Amino acid sequence: MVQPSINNRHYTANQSNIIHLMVQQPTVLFGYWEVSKRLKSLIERHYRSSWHELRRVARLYQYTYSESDSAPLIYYDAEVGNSESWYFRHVVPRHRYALDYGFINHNHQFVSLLRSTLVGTPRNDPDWIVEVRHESSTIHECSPSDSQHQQYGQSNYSPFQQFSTYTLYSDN
Amino acid sequence: MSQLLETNSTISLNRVHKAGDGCVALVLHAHLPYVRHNEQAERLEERWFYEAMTETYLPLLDMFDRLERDRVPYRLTMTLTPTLLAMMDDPLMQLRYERYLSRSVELAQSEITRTAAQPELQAVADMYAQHWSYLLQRFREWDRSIIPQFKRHYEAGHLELMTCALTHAFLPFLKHSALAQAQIEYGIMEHERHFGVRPDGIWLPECAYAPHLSKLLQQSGIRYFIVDQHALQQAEPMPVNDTFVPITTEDGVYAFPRDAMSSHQVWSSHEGYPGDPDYREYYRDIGFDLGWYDEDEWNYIKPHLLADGARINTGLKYYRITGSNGEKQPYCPEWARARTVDHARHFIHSRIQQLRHAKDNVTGIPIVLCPYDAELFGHWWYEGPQWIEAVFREWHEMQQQGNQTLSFVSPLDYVNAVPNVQQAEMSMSSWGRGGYAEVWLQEKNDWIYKQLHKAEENLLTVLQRHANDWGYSTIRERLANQSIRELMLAAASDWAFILDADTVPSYAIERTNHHLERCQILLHMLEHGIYNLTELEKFEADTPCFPNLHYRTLLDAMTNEATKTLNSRSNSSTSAAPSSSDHQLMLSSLFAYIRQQLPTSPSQQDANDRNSLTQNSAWNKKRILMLAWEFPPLVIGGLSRAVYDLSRYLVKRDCEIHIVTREVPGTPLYEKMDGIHVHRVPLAPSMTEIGFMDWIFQMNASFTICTDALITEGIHFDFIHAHDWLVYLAAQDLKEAYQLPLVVTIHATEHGRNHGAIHTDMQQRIHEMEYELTQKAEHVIVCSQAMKREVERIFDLPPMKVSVIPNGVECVSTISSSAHNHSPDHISLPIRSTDIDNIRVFRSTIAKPEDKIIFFIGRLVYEKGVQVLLSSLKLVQERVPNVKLVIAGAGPMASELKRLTAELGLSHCVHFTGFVNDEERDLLFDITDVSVFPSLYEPFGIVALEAMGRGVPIVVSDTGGLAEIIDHNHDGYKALCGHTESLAWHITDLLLYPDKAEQFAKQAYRKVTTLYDWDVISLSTRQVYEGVIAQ
Repeated sequence: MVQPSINNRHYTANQSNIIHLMVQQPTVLFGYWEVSKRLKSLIERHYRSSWHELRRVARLYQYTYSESDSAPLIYYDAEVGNSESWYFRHVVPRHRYALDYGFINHNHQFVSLLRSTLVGTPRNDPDWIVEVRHESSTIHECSPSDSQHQQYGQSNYSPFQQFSTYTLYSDN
Repeated sequence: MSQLLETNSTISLNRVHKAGDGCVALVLHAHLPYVRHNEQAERLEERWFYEAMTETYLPLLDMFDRLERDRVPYRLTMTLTPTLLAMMDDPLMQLRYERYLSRSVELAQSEITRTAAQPELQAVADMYAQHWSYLLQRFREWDRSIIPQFKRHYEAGHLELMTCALTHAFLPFLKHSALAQAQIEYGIMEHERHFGVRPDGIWLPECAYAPHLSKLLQQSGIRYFIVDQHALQQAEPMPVNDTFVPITTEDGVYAFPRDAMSSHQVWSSHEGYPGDPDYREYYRDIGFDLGWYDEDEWNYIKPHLLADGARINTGLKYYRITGSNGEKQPYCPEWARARTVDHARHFIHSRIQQLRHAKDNVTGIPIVLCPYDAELFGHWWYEGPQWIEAVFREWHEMQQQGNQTLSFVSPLDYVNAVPNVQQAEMSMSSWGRGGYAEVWLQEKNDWIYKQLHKAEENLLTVLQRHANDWGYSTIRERLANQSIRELMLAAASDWAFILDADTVPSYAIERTNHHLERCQILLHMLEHGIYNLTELEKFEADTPCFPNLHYRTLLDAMTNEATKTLNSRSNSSTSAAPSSSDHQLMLSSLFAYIRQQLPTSPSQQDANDRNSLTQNSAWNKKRILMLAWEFPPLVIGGLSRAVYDLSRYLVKRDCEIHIVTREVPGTPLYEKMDGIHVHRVPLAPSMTEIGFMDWIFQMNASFTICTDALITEGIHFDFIHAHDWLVYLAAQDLKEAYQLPLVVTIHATEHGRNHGAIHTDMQQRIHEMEYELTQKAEHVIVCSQAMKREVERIFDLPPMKVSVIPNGVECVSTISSSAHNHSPDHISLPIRSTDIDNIRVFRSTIAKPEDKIIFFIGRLVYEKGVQVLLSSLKLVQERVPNVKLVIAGAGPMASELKRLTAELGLSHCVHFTGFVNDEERDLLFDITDVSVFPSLYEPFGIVALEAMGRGVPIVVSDTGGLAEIIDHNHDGYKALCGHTESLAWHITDLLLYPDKAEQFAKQAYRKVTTLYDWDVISLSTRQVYEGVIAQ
């Protein structure tokens, strides 16, 4: 491949923060991603941790097929290590999915870096059933308690109630 | 033309309606990837084309001619894909093929001699020699052009021709629908170029369908396509006619299902017709059989193999399939021919049975559609073309005997004859293994998609960026066209298919990389304006295909895609579903929108050019990137309003301002507000809990990605102006990445907010970010002398690096206009409100007519000192009992303040309004007797200026910026900071002496309108910018 010239910063800058989710079959999705060196160094600077020391996770959100539903039903976490692509072999036909790629912070919380577009899995026909192969991944129900997005959507404020303009006030 | 259409339509109608039990459509998909290699005639892959010519395409044409000659009516549908047509049309390929066929004839003739001792084999060699000589003769008669022969049969009405996507890309896997649309449209254009008409039907490569393709097909005027059977079986609603009647998509395009049963009869290598023992055995070719034990034999066959001695098919195959066991027996053409007749009868009989069965269960006319790869016929199944011939001859005989049971039609006939079929929605599907996409997407080939999609992005970006400067340079147009050609050739589904089948994976890898590499080289030339013509000419010469491919078609498709994306966004924004919107999609729609909106053509100057321009003493219009975490209509603190006001006044001073801020639900991602370009970046909402600093990180990461995209779009910035630590990460990253000067406004410090004490880790972290931000900046702006002293001290900044520029305020006009009174001594109060009745009503909701009103507005946080004001209210009441305090604003301390109010027994005279908008705030000012700003820490105090601009008497605490605004006892009172008694005394004084209060208010108003005017402030800011650029 042709490498862009060194001084062509703009070219390189836009090249590598990507994530994409593809449907292989009703029960299998394939996602790939790439995080730019700059974004990695931004993370390293902010989290004071080397990129390679962070636990990297691909999180697959499952939605109902109907577009009117906004909240995901469930999500799957796959610890992907250094991998830049993943097969999700346990998905459900006729559902919508979106993929996040991110890492686990020092408080064991998932911080998303990239989010894919939503894709829909086809309906499944019994004649076409493909053997489901389970990957090592953890599955979580999305409960209101761990979902902040609704609150976020209703307010112009940050998702942190104690945050006001410039700093984070304590609860006291 | 319309007459012709009408005639065709009538013929279609007859064909379909005269069918007794139903219709059968035989469809042959003729396709080969583009395997032309300019410099190498001996490529194995190029031989795919030659073999298919000899074994499939020429025999099919010959068969059509025989049927025509014998007046046997037939109706067959074919796809001739654009890549195949390109090779058929290529003079070099034609010449090479003629040479190939000549050599085949020579080999067959020498085989007659070699097999002299084996008469059964010799007869077969003789068959090949005669057949190939005949084909060679015909090929020469046709001047090596066979496309006109297909066209002749099309025009005769026997052959229906469909088109295909330009390079046979697996359309659901193209990332941008613009590319899918271009694949379809270019395919149609090629069809039109070769056959003189736009096609009605399309063969979707690999029968791969996805819902988004429906609209694209309809927009291109496509009337029908073919899907695998299960696509219909899974459709919603479930088709009532099973798979015996096509459906239409929601856009009215007919989808014909492939019939699985007839497919099996022809395809299956064991149970299917081609597996019959009398048919020719494909796997016994002399290219593989000869020369293993005999050197002479090796020397004999070697010239017919590849140059490196690799064994290949020569086409000379002597044996029939025979049985599953035992030695292969010599081929007997007569036996095979007899079997084709048997199989043809069986096929027709099976279809009749199938249609009769179907007819009882469906409403309307059933149709069985039998699509096959054309190359199956003749190449794999040697007798395939004979079988097709036998099918039509058998059908003809039946018709002559009066048996009208079934009719052979093309899908187009059916579309013409049956205008109404059920509409249903289909999911993604293909005709590949498993029925979906596992052939084209699995571990062996998945890596290609990231490369292809990156190239897509790059191509679309470059094309769009230069969309307005086309049209005058032929070279640029050629570069654009060739880059599209290369990407499309890289995207052929054949490469992924080969990687899956593991046949010639190195070739598939080579071809994918080769075209992608060339695409990148061409885009690089376009982007940088450095054209290597020799290279361009070589690329063009290597791929002399699709001469009508023009970048405009793709640009139109991109506009179409952008419009759809925006529409879908505006539709989705009506539902309260921000979380389901996808981050990347939103960013891309933001950029698509920006592309359309921005009037300025992208700068072609590189960084050096721009630097040299900045050396000029004259101030050229500068483009400034403003990073602000809040921007109207999102207003949380004073920062939002201050950035907005500063920006709109800077716009008047020859600055092009681009605000990058975060998205606010219900507002556009891009808009131009008072000349300011506002880019609101969507933040991917977290589904699970994250920390505050994680959120800050995500926001900054999104800001950098957005800015990168703006810069990629050609919007180059002269410098960055960042506001506060919240955007530190983005400011620092962008400064380093693009080597841009950085100006920072520090609106407040963590140190100040916490009274000089940094206790917690969080406070420490924020303090560090503020420190870093000011260190990285070329210049720091603060709003007051107090702040200047503070930042110089706590961030170790040299005084030269810090400028004081106050915030401004917009004032309402005065009661008596300046036209009436020029006396400098005369000071008027501003009009507080013209609607006195409205004010009275509003006031009555809060206080009695005789009550005095004290007003506080601000965030309810500790440093604003509301707790001090509440304590002093007790003291005020001692002298002014009928007093009411209105507290407007929201914040983390709200509940604590309410509790304190209750504890002090003040609930009856304190009114909390919560957050108020500007209009409500002004109403409150208008009913206020005294406004009080009792801050413990206040870098500037914009609300005090707003009160002064509204003609409201004020009491402030003697701290920070507030202290600098007020001249004590002249235009207001300054109370001791945090001092309850001092604050109470000054409030009481103004409440008891309204004349004094009014005099203060008049003086304060004059100060605001002269010192805190945005016009003056924007000039000072621009002077800072000039200083930074001069550095």
